[in-house]
Amino acid sequence: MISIHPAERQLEDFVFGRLDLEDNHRIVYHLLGGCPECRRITAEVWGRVEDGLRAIRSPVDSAADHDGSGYARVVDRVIDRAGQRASKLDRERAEAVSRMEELSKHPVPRQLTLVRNSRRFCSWGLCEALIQDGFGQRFDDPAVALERIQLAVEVAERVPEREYGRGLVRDLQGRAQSYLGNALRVTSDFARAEEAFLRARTLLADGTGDPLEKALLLRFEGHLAVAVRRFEVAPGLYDQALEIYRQCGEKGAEATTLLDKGYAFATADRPADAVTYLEEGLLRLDTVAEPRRALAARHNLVVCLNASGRHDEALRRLEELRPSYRQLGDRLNLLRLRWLEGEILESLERTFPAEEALLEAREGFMAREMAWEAALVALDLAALFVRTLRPREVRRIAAEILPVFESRRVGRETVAALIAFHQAAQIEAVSVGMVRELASALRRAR
Amino acid sequence: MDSPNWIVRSRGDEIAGLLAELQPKLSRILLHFRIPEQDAEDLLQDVLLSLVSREEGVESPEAWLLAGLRYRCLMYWRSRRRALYRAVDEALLESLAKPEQPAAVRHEIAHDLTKCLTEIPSRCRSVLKLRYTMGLRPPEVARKLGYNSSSIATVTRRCLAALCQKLAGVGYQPGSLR
Repeated sequence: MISIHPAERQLEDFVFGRLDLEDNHRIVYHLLGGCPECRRITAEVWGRVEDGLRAIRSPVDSAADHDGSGYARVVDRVIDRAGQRASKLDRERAEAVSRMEELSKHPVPRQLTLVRNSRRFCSWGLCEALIQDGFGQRFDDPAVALERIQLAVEVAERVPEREYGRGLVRDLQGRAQSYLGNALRVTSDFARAEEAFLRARTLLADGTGDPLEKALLLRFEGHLAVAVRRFEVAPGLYDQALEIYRQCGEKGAEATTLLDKGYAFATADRPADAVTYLEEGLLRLDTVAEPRRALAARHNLVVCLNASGRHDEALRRLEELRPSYRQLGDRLNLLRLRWLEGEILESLERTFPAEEALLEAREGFMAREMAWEAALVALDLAALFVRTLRPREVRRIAAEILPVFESRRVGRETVAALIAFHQAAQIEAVSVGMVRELASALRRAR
Repeated sequence: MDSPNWIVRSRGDEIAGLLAELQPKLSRILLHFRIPEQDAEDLLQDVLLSLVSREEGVESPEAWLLAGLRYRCLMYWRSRRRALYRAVDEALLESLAKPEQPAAVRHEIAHDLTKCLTEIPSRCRSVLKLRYTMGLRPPEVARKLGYNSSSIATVTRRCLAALCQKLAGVGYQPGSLR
């Protein structure tokens, strides 16, 4: 045994990780020798660590007397620093608008050069502004969105730690990587999205432990899991995010995540589960503040009700939706509504109105040169024609859609299914099931 | 993303007002988790600066602050535990890798370690023996003992936890090895 006993304070510092390497080693070797007195002291300190870890399992005693604890003084001391930080950030956020405008005047490579070489672009405010701008454009222009977020990553890497603190800067860098992963997912670059999320995890683990940053990353990882059809993983990721949002009182984010989870189940062909989460999310969503999100969720709910066999309810909900579509939806969304209506009517075997709705939707998509959507509607029509024993129309549709899908990048199996459908149509051997399976495969291939 | 922009409306005095209101609750959380006073300031500062640094704001600053502080308190203790495991691991690996250390000292450490290892569960004994007395790397330990290479890091960490508990005189706690 190495017999020089460490001081009691040193043993405490050892357990709390406050010692340098050499002292650590000395104490480890001493304890290894089995000194009973030092082990007793260490056990006491270790007990505090265990108590601290166990504390998460019990509620905070709201009546506990904290007056003598000295924590009140701690709170007072940090108030002043937080106030100064708030003022500094306000200034930076105000400046970020003009910095963004300045950057936008240059081509992307020059923007990168400016950010990499000029300190005035290395601000927290500009990084936030770039992230928000990129995120806002993710569906309208995914390529521009990606450029914005990549620029935000560059800025985040240059935000000075000495001004903001290491932990917070890691949080910001982690956030930028989370958004980068999401932007890459939107552009279907799944491998690089995964890499960005991995970097985000590492950075956030080195950050302040902000639970909302973690929840955001979990949500984005959930989106990626859905996109790559890892449906066994996605609900768990959303559940972890939901737990954090509930603890933090983030009702809006909680509602959105419930809708995300519902969408995941819908994509996984589990419409009944999807209905549960979409309805729960809609109940919690502020539909006045977020009318478009609410409309999209209601649309998905109608799709899932129909897919889970609740056709009458789906039709009733769709009728309730129509005014919102007129109010908010552009003509393209109204076409999608008409398509959905045709699908529901076909499920109810109301042949004539179903055919009318599907034909109208198909013509609308063709007029907009949206061949893929038009061909998918044509498959719904084909199912209707099979059911109503109209083989000539089925043959015609099979001949029309084959070149549309062949010209796109769909998998070999899907092309084989298309050819099989085409051949079956020639000999009048198409079944409704065959058409439905083909339509599902093509929707997935999109 | 469109949540109320609380932080944009707020300034230093608003934060001060909120904190003054929440001061008893924040103090009780720190007390509940038994955070040492000298570290409490860093924890609280982190959580507050995170709040003021969030541009998109939070819906309920009070809930966010309280949940954020609880979470950081938990992280605080977890990082303490990790730091201790790391310190023990490094010290034992170092004892192997120091040829300049007098042979008698090395011999004594090896003897003490062997004795200590007899007092922890046998499966951990095998893992740590290979690591600290034969200097094998985790993939080699996994191969020798038939563990999956993807799980050897977790197995090693759990065994290290058992050893640390032994060193800290708290004995073997079966629950901690699950």
